[in-house]
Amino acid sequence: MEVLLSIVILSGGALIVYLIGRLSRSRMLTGFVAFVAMLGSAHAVYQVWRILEQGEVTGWPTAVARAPLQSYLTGSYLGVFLAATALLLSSLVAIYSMRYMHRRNIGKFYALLMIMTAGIVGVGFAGDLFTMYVLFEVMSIASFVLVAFEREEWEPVEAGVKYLVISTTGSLLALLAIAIIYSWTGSLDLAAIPALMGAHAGGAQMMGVIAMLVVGFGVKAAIVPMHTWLPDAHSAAPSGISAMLSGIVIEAGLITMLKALLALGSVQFGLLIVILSLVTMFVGNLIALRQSDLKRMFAYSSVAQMGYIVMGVGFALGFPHVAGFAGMRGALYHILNHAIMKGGAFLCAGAFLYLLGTRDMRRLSGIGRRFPLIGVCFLIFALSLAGTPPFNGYFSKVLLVRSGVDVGGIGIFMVIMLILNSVISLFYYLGAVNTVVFGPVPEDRPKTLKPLPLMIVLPIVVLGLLSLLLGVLPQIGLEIVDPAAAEIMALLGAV
Amino acid sequence: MPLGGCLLIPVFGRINEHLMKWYSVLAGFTTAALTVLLIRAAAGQEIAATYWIPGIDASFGLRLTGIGMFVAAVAGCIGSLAILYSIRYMEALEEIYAPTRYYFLTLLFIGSMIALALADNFLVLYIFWEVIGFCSFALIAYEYHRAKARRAGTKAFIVTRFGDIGLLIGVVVLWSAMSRLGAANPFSISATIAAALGGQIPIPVLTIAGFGFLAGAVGKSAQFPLHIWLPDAMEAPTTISALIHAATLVNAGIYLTARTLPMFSMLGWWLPALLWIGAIGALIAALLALVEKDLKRVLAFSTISQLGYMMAAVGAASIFASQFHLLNHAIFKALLFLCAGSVIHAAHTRNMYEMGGLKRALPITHVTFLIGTLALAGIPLLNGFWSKDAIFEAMLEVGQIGPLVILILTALITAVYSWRMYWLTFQGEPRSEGHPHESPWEITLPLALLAVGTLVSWLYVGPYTAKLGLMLPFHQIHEMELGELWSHTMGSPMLLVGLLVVVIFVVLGVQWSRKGAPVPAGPRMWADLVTETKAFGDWFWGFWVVVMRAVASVLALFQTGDLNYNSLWLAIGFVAVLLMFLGWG
Repeated sequence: MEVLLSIVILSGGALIVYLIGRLSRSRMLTGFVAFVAMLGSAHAVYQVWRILEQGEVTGWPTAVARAPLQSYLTGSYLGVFLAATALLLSSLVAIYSMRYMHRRNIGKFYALLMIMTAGIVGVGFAGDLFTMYVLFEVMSIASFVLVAFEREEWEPVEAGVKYLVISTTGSLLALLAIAIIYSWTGSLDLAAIPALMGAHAGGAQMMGVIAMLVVGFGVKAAIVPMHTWLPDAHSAAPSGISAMLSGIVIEAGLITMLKALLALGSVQFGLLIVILSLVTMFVGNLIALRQSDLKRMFAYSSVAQMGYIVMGVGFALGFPHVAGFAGMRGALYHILNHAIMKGGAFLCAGAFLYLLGTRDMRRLSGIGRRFPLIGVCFLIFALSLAGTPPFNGYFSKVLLVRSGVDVGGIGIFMVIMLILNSVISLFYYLGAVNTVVFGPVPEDRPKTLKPLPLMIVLPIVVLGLLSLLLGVLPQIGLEIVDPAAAEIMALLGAV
Repeated sequence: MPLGGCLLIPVFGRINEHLMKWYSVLAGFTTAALTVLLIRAAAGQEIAATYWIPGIDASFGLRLTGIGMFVAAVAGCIGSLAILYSIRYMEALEEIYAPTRYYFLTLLFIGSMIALALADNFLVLYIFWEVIGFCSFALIAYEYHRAKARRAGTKAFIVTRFGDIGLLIGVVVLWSAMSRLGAANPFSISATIAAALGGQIPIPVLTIAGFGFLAGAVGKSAQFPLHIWLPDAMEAPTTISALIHAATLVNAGIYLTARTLPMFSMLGWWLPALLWIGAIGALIAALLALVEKDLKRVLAFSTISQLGYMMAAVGAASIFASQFHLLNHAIFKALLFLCAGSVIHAAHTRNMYEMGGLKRALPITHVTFLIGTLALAGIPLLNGFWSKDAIFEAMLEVGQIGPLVILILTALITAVYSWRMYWLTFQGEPRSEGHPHESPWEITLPLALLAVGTLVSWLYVGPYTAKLGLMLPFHQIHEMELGELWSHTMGSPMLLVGLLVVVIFVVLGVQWSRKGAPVPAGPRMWADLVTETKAFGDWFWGFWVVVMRAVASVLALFQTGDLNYNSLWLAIGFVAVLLMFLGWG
């Protein structure tokens, strides 16, 4: 019941928020109601967690009342993890957008934000492929609209259409795969499918299905070469949405893929995913080196960071008994960290955009000094993304490296490449810091800038402090990551 | 203490700038006193192992080891002197740059360095290793209006992080091996060393870790071929150069190798690798120092060179020689840098060819600088002489003639460049206009203290070795009394090197006092080319930058932003993944 509640509060709340926005046209009020709804949803998620902690199951409808083939939601640690991360980021984005977004259409904006969050929460809790696919599409469709939200300008619309076309192609591939699985097993239940696979398990056809799932959901997860939509969409979207897209939506894509793959049972193809991740991180980091647009740079860096996460997943799937737990907890922890640091980085970029109306780093030069609090947070996020202690990004990387070392041989080579990548990424992160915070102030910048509203500063500072906190005391994150990782590894037969 | 202290800096900075500065001086000296007390009190015990990350069985443990304690004490003492010195020295910059940032980062650095030296946990060591790297970056780029300073800071950070790739892999490999053994605290340094000596850690693991730690140490201690960041780091304020880039941060690599020596000496190649890296680095840096014109960069090259000595000493398995030299070098090189700061403060230039004849204007600085120079060159009876001699002895004992010859040659070159540096700065006639004057007491007091330290620190050898031996069960160090050091040194053939250095000093001194200081007639392109590390030392940096830019440009060609091409990539990706998976299945 609590599982359903966590989604209904968000999606039902979206309707109310839309009405409030339409009638009052007050950004503060609309945003505040959305924020409260997210807190309510977070409370429901917390209840799910407590139930799971007591060793009981929760779901809707409950297993007893469920008809065959009925779609259902089920409480799981993975779902709790994804929902908690998503709600943390989206509630901060809700605060941030109170002043960042324009007054017009504010109701639509918050309604879509909440629907997108509901989709993410639902994907985590979905118990069967059908529910998962539908909620995945709910999330996707909301995100298409949000990317193209500022529809008077050309760039967001173009990016939105691009995102729509490519993402839908991917979704259709995934849908095809789901249909094939259904035709083989006669079931969509994620928990029941492995036992029903029968003769199809392990064959060439199965590999074809896996390839479809990897590519189909991989579009959303921005695995190279399916990442082409991402730089446009992430840089053109409103900054709060960029933070959501990079911080949690692409990760939700990956978790959807992971859940679908887990349903097919333990199959040894992890190494292939590791190879994909290697390509992903190199392409992301190297292209990011060339960017002069701050948000576009962060978008490419998201591609690279997805590479790190996918590598952990690859190790976990490929070598569940040797390195599985370390890889999975590393990947999940990096998802949490990435939501914090990349979300924060995009919110910083948005604050600069709000002040100066540009994303070009040369024209943003020196702005971080003018607003030291934002400047310091920007520095924290950049260093954290590059994996520098004592900010949060390093710890999950240490876990990922551990999983590679446990694999040995090729694994060690892969993780050396991973750390090499994080050194390469320092070039552009520090380059951005050097320009945006320490660079000379351009001649033509107006002497007086508008003040930065508290509602924009607050979420950034909260994320900055979280980044430091999780870096110094990583155990806090492990508390929520470890059960989810253990749950997944149990599905793979390795605890 | 300084870690907590640094958090208060912004608070005090808000209240009153003067209060903040004197508060940081107070914090610095308290730290120094504490670290010195630690040495007196400690006897190898473990303190404060609190549970830190139960999820990976990591405890936050500290252990007072002989080496670590002295590294910590150096950080505390020289740090406090550098802060005192900063108060007047940094005044000129305060109008442009906020002093809060400076004192915050300096205290953070000192605290992290001490934590690094006392940590008994590889993960904690790695974290503070990166934190000091970050402090170094931020302090080099302190004068951020200058693009050169910004670039130098970035370069220092990135180049050392190339080495840290190895360190991180090494740490994780050992962690993995230890948790397979079922160790209670898999990150513990002492437990890992004990396990390795007990033969419980497989050799391949040790090999990877040994290589990784070596790479990390080479990066941090600015050894060949990752030495290129240190000369550029001289863009930092001089106090920072003295504290970070001479006395503390660069010693971290030496500390790491010395600390893990018992573990890795089981690998046949590890010690010779250290020997040769140290020796080659020492020679190259000394040669470059011969032709450099910038006072601070000469000192930077000489730091690289002296660090090479220490690394080679570790390679000769002589912890005593390397750590003794580390201690002595920290004192006299901090002295030299702080003197250089005083000189630059007075002369308003860093180019030695524009100085000259400063001995009358800066009497105190002159005397202290002279003492530092003599110690650097290894003139008998100053502290640099004793430890350098101990290094030669150690190498003679293990029979490494090749590196020994290189290092002796380097010692002679060291004499030439250090004497040249001194002569260009203080002797001869003034070569530029202006009326330099002596610095205030906040600046000269640390100079005097360090000069006294340079003169007498070798007398401390007895208790020093006693402490080292007491607290390093795996390193086999025996106590050495002062008299023993005296008779040992005076009776060895290596004394000849010291005497030869004296001869060089006399000959060159006589010649230069007749003909004037060795200022080149015109600009020397080749010297700049070599020492600015544009052509010679920078291949590594330049290579990476060029290659990455090129690859990025090529990759960007595929990122057209055209929807048709994007869809094409999706299709190609699907086909590729499908083929891969089918081929695998």
